[in-house]
Amino acid sequence: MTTSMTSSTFLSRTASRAARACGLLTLITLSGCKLDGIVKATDPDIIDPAFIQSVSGAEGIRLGTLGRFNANTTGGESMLLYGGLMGDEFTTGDTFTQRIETDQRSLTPENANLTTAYRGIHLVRVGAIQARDALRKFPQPTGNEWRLAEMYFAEAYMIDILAEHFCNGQPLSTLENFQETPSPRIPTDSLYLIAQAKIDSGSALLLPALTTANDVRVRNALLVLKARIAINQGNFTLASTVASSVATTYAWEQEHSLTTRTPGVWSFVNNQRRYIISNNEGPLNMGFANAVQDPRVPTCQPGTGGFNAAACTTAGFTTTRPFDSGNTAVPNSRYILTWDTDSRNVALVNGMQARLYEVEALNRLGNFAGALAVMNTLRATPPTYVLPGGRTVTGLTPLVDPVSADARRDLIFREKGFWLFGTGHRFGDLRRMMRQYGMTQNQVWPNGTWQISRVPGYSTDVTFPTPAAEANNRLIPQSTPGIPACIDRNA
Amino acid sequence: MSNLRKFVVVILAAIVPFALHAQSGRGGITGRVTETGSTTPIGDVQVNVVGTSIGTMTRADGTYSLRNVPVGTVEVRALRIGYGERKRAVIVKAGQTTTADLALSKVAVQLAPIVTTATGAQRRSEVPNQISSIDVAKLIEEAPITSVADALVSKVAGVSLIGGSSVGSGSRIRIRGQASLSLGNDPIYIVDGVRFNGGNQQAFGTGGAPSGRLNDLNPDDIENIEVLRGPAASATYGTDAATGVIVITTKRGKVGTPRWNFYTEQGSMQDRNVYPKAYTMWGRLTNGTASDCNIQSIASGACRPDSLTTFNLWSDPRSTPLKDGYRNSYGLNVSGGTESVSYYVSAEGEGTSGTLTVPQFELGRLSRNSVATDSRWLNPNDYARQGLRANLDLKISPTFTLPIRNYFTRSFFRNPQDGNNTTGLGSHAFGGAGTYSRLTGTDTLGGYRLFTPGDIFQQTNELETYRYNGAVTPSYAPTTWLTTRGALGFDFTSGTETNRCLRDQCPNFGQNRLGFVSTSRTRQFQYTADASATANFSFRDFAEFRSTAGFQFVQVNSDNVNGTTSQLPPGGLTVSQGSVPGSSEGTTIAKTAGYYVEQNLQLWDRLDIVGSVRGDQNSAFGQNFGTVLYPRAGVSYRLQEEKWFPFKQQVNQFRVRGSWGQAGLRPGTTAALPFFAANSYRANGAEVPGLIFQQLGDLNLKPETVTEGEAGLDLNMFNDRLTFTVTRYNKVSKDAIVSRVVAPSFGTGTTTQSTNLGAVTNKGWEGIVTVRPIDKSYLGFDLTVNGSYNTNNLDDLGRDAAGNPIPPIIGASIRQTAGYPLNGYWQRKYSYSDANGDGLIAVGEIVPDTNISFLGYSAPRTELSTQLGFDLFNRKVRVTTLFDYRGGYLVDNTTERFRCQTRVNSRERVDPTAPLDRQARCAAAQLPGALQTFAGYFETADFLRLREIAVTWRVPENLVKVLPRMRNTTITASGRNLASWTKFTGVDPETAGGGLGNVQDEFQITPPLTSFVLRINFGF
Repeated sequence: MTTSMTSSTFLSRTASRAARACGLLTLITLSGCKLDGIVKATDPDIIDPAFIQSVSGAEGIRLGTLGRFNANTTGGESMLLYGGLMGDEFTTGDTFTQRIETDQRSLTPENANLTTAYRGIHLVRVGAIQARDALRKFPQPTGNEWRLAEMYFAEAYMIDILAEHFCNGQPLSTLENFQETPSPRIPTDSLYLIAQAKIDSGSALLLPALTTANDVRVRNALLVLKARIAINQGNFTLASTVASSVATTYAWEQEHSLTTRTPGVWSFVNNQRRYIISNNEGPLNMGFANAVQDPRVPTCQPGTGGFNAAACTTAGFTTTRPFDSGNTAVPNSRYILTWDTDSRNVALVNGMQARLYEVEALNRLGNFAGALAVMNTLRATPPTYVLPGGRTVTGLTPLVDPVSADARRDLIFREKGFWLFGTGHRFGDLRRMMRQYGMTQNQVWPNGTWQISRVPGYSTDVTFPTPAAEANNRLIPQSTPGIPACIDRNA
Repeated sequence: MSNLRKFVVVILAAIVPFALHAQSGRGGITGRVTETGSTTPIGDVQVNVVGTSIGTMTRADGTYSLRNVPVGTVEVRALRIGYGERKRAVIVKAGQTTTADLALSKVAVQLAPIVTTATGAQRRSEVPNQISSIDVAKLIEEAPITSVADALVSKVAGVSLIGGSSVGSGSRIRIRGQASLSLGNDPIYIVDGVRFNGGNQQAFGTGGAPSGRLNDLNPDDIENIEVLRGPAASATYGTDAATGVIVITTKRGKVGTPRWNFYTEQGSMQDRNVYPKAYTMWGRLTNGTASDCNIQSIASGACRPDSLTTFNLWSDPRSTPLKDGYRNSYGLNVSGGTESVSYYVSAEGEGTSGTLTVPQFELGRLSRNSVATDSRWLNPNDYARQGLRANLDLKISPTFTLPIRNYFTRSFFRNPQDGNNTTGLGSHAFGGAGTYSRLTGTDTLGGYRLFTPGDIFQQTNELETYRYNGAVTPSYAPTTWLTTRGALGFDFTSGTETNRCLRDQCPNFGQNRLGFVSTSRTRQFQYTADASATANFSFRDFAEFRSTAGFQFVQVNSDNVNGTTSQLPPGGLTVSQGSVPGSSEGTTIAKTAGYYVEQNLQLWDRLDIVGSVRGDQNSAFGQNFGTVLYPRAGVSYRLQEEKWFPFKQQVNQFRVRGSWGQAGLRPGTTAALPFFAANSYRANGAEVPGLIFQQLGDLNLKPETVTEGEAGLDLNMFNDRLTFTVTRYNKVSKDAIVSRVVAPSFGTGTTTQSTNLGAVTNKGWEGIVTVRPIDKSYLGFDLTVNGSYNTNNLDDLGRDAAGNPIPPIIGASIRQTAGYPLNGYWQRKYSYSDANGDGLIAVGEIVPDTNISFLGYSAPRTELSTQLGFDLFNRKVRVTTLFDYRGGYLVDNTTERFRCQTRVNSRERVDPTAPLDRQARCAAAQLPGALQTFAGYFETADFLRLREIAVTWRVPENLVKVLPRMRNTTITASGRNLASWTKFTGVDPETAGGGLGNVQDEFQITPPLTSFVLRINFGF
């Protein structure tokens, strides 16, 4: 401020400056208010739902759902592997806590691998619903019915897997217009009823025509699944009837390759060495990796003197290092040859399963002779898809009647265990041995001394808990904050 | 017309009339600034006319010139770090030049008197926040500073930094605790006025620390670093600034003849940590079979022990994977110029090799197998950087300056699988047997578990980065009371990261030995455009107004293309040579546009009141959300200026201050959007593309708004020989973005939904005390104590659409539970007793609690650093030491837990003479799944560390000037991370596991290194 300046001059100048400055600030403020256009950005990595409202978009969602279905036999750990780990098909080959507690039948709801597998089930289930909605809105020019039916199959299959593995009371939530529509807990029995209804819906779509190969393929898949669920429901008559209409040669195969997804068992047993094929883990003494090799679960051990070493050499398995977990109950470097390469198919639903459902149904309906005949037919003429890649199971001799009811039961489950190794059936069967055959937990499940630590380690789980993440479904009650409550955890 | 154009028009329309305003009655001021009581000139003094935009810096000879000064009596103010502020009234006459010399007194306090804010430079004492400054140029002379992180660690209260253990790795910085539950908690970086990518980068996991982009800066180029801790200070920076702002200013040219500076650093990197021994108990099973025993199998009678052996591969000369690394750097810079053009140009190259290498026994194995050893295997961790900087300051006219900043750097970072990955060094070095001689095939494992370093280090991960930062920050003062500023900046980073195993190399895991290569090519562009105008005017002689308005636009684009292949042919190196190709691509785009206005009012040169508001829009906000406003207000009151203030002789400053503000954190760039993604699978012999519903999105998503209030007191006494600063803060993150877990049964691909639900509070204290009890010309001693204490709480996780509380987010050991700190550790506690008195704790002797309970914080609550400085021998020698304490938190000692639980080689798992409490925690970890508890491994991690010690010798002039043209020489010998004291049972509580994320753990990874550096600096 100048000393010569009068007060009035100063006030005038200051007021003038203040007014102009305020005007400047106001103008700037107002000009900056609409910024939407400046910050608009489009990310090319995402696909806007608005862009796929079309016939091809609907087909894309269907294929995406099948891709997720395919993931159940590939890459990550689906219930097909995880059920086998808690059961007697696999023991853990590494030191991850999640696998250890699963192998020990002592799961925590926070188990990250379990959560991933659980999500895998619902990804397919909800994807199938979305695909059906899209196909109805944008029907394909031809074959829309079998596509819809296939999505019913995918949904029903996952509901069955959910019911077979998880505790009583599972939700079947959905998304409506991409918004969450929660489901309350549904009892296991009701899940089976829902799954059967889905199958019936799918079958009804196909019945008027059933002319194309796809119609037949999907129809057979629905029938095999219906028989499987009927067995779970204890409806052996229905199971026998439905299963008998499917030829043994039928197979609904999941294909794999190194460029997309590799077979799950190959990946986890042969490649990553995170799973070990069990050998007599549990009271049923399923010697999957026994030195007395069952040809339906072929294995090998590389190196001089290794079991079936030549086969290992042929398959390119040379590593003889032990598994991380140090399970000495199994020859450490045992490889499985069923899926001996990274591109083997998995016959996830097939006619052999139909035969085996028939076998159990026949036995339960009092016709063990018929059951034995079916089993021996399979042994005499094994389906080619059991060992993918044109290989055939050989060397199986006919079975004889073990006479006692318990022995017959054990024989049937044993046969089923070997034929269906690593395909997600064993866990449900172990539960049914308790639920439908009255066996005790310790007669069925691995118990007592855990093979790896050689100290008592097994707990008492016979189902998987609902993962903690499901506590974010507001209709699911919580046992403690953040932990979903099951109705019960009985077999 | 676009909004941007509209804005430019408005700015011009507003400014031009002012610029055209007649400028009459002007004069000039010249003078010289010297030290009080001597004729020693002081350069780099900020001299300005109070209440105007007129200002300049003194030349090296202390002289200055100010032109176009309004006639009449004005006040000239001089400010410089290390000196007390000085004001002087000057009478300016029209058309004449008045001489005004100024004398400044040295003060003990070393804080820069000017700080940088979003609205321009301001006097520190006017700013109502505590803004910490680090005089990097000075620090480098007396401490082992080889990176920006080194300059920051333990220097600023409230700033917590943890660095990666390998050379060239990045660091994690948290300011005033962790504010956000789900978003990044890293601060943003502003270098010379423009946004700078200071994050970490890693495309392929190594199990260890990622490389750090902050390392791209050459510390020798930096003048100072300022830290704005939170929204109370950073509100005007808007979205992204809620977690703090680190403002870095590089050196500017100094007017005068060229002043050259050459320096070199030569040093050693050493791993002086004490690693655990491995134990093996040899024995037999009950059936006579030879077997390893452990406490559990001994206690159960399943195994009969025979003998115990131990082995420490880290210290055994045959097996150790450790060597001494070497650091060298060479730099040359020159500064000079005229009033019109000044320049600072620098070039630097540095190289540092890490401390890992192939052990002796492995060299023998490779040789026996005729495998030629690659130099990369011998130096699996390596870092190199070359940088070139050209800073120009153009003074186009007395009213128009044009600073231009250019920096180009190239860096190279190689790091092996050094952590806890399946094939990582840590997984095998921490997990082997207690013997050197256990074999794999015919070769010894050398104490390693399954894989040995000769194979592990064959997998190379290399990142080469090229980077350019440019900034133009013009400033135009059309009148004495108006200044306009702009900033245009560009930060471009291009990196190529390659992760490779050649055929027949690397650990025999999966298909690794068939060969694979993955390469990721990443680019990031950061654009900054900033324009603002500041008007200064006075009312009478007691009120100064300062009004600022501005606009800012920041855009960050990142894209990457990854190519992968496996099954390489012999000799194959590239992605195209493999038989199983794959590729991926990713893009992120984030744009922020904001406007801001700020009004400062200063009364009687002692009371400052500031208010501001910033409005932001961001591309990541949901489409239903508009512009967010971030207000700020603050008061600073310098009581010592009051006439009534007592103790004026003793007290140089007594300031109380308080401020309140808001800033934001933007959500992920696509978090608001519902979308589908592509997948593919194999059907009918071919790959088929499909669509999957991926993400729910949230169209109402808005930024996480963090509100912070702080209040503090600054006290300087006895000619600033005692300074004391204390600040209390309370930071609340409302509408905190919670990555709400989507229940799996909804079948979404993305497992979480970002939504504004929660609330997080951080509150605490920060304080700094500096004393200089001895301050003689021949001897000095100073002490700085710097501390902070933080309390963090997750107030609320929010409620879902139906009003139900969001359940806790439960992880394996970390939970987000309302009422507890973020990322707190939770486990089932346990008790134990040796019931049978056999001296062994069996699993059955553990009693786990029924419930899982909170154990403690995962981040330090208390941080305290103490720096001691001694000036000796007529101040020719300065010795500094820095001690660093952190406490109040737990570290997950996963290394030791794994050694117990799965490696079976820890003392507490194997040795029956191990202390019972250690046996107990190990036994508790072996309980069956649901009862299993790792509580014993979440250990108190409090530590005291001798962080730095340095001795600097300023070579006497008579010795220096023996060589022609020499101006000065300093020699500094320093060491970093020299010793530590802790009860933590792991290797080091400061081990940066967890990938430098929000939670640090120690999990089979090597801890921080020790370094010794000799630096010689020649000025000529």
